Amino acid sequence: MTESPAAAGSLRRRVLLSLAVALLVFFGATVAVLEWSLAASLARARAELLETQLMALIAAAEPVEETRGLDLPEPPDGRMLSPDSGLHAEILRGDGRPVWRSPSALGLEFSLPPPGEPGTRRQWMQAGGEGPGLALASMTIDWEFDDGVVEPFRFVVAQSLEPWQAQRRAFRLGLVGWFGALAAATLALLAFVLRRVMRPLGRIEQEIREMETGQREQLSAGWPEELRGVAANLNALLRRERDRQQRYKESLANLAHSLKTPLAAVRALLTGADREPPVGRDAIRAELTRMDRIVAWQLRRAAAAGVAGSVGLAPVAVAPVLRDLAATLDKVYPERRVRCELDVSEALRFRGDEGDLQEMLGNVMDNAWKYGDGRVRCSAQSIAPERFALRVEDDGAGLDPAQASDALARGARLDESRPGQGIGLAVVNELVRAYGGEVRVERSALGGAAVILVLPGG
Amino acid sequence: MRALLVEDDENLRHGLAAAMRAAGWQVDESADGAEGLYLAEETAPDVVIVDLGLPKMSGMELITALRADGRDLPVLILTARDSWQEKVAGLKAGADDYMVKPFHAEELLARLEALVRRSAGWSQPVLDFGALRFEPAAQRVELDGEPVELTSFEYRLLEYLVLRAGQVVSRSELIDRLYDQDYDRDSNTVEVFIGRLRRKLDPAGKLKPIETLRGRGYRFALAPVGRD
Repeated sequence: MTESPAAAGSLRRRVLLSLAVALLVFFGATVAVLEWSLAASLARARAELLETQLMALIAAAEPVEETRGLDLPEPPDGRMLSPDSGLHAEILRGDGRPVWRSPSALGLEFSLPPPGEPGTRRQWMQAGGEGPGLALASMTIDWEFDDGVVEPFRFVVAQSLEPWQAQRRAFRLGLVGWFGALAAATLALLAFVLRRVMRPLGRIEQEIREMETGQREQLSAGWPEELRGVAANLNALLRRERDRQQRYKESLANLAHSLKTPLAAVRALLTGADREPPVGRDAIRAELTRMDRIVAWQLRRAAAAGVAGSVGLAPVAVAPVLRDLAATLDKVYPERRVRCELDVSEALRFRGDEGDLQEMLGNVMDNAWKYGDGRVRCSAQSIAPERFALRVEDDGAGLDPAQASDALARGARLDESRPGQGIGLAVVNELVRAYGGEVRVERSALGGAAVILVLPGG
Repeated sequence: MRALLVEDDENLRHGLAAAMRAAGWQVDESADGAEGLYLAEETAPDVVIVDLGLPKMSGMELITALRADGRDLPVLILTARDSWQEKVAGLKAGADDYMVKPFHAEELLARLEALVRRSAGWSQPVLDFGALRFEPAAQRVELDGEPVELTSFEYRLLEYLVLRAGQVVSRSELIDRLYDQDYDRDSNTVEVFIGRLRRKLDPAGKLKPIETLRGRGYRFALAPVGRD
């Protein structure tokens, strides 16, 4: 998945934005639930209140024997007397004709459902058109007059919804206000915390900028725990990069300088070409060989400095590399009929570049195939938590300590070396040292040389 | 012997081809991989020398294509990169040997000699037929321990037959492998040289190393000793 540039722009903005959305959803849901439960309890309270008012209305009614009607000389609630009070009442006969209406109901029209049998209670709502609407309750009862005549009457109480709705509005307003203030406070707090948390990142950025402009050599110390690894790796990377640049520079300078001598020799030889006796091609060829060796050495050395180190490299399985090299060497030196024993765990890993490992082992194994007498053994053992020793042995003539140290250091004294003396071991030495390891040459139990490479494992 | 040399650097190619011709090779040259593959299929060389960095088709691709075609002729790669990673990759792709530039032409010739010898089934540098012994690397022939003096052409003719010991080699194949293309195929030089070889290798007439199979060609008839 690709991040949009805006989202990728700032960690702080991403955290704050995500949290703001989360708060909005959370608070929105909370407000909705609270309001819903408030509405439910308000509805219950309203129903109970209507019921009470209805009962009070019935209790306050008095019979008018002459007309066989009912009257309410003293309404149970004073509000029924004043218009616009929001509390209204009405008493109707069984056939729907009103016998009494509260003065507050002036101009109001109640839509009544069928009265039902005596004893029937009803509650319902009536939309108010432009007004707030009404909540109504009715009860039909049989009224027994003094003379024993029974007449059905319907008592109706209506209450404006306005106060209830006002209550809900006020509640909602309060809720949103408080929650909004809370969300804003949370975000502000978080922004403050993030600012503090992110400060080291800003510092790293600043220090990197300083390094780019050359004001700083490497990152300072004292980073929080989470950044310590990054800072250390970055410093290691920088150090290695500087080392590499240094080596390239040195290689280039060495290369140029060391080529000057054979070039001068060739020029001198060519100047004397018309001499008697004429200079042989062999002399020029010898100089060319020398130049070739110098170029080969410096090139391999510069390449060796390439990726030494462990940052950003997947560990390389050692056993397959050994097998590949053994197969290659068998193909190149078929008449040597080398029997090669590989005693290396499949799990063994080298922490570094695969090409470097091939280069080191290739050179060492090439020697074993060339100078051995047909038997080669490659074995490995772990010598420290992140370090292993790889041992390549043959049954040839071997190297005495003086020869060994000469072979390991040969690259450095290239001008003195004679053709036929390989630079393979010297290249291995350079590479292994670049990985912080070491090369030892010992006498093998097989009779020949045992070359031991100590390398970082992983 | 016929070799195919695929190398895009003109100076190097010409220099190598000249050195190889001087050593008795028939050399087909190509400057790019695609043409090289075509020539490898057309001319049926005894050995192919391939530079890894070629235009149109890389050396590695050329080798892979050759091997995919089921051709098991020996292949030697030339590379300017002196790294084991590249050597391993080249030999895994199907090459049989490698040379890192720059190199001496003599070294290349010795390697080619060894490759051809090996592909003929000889893993050891000395081809032993009892009374007759051949050492291709040194272009040396011994009869009963004494060196036999051969001209360059005589040696090449003999080597071609010896590496195919027991097989019939036709006269036209010999001409194709040992002479330039503009050689007059009707001349009887081959017969003349075979006659000379017989006299030099078998002065007493007892050994009979080279048989003539009328209408079919020649065969080196001695049985190898200690061949694996």
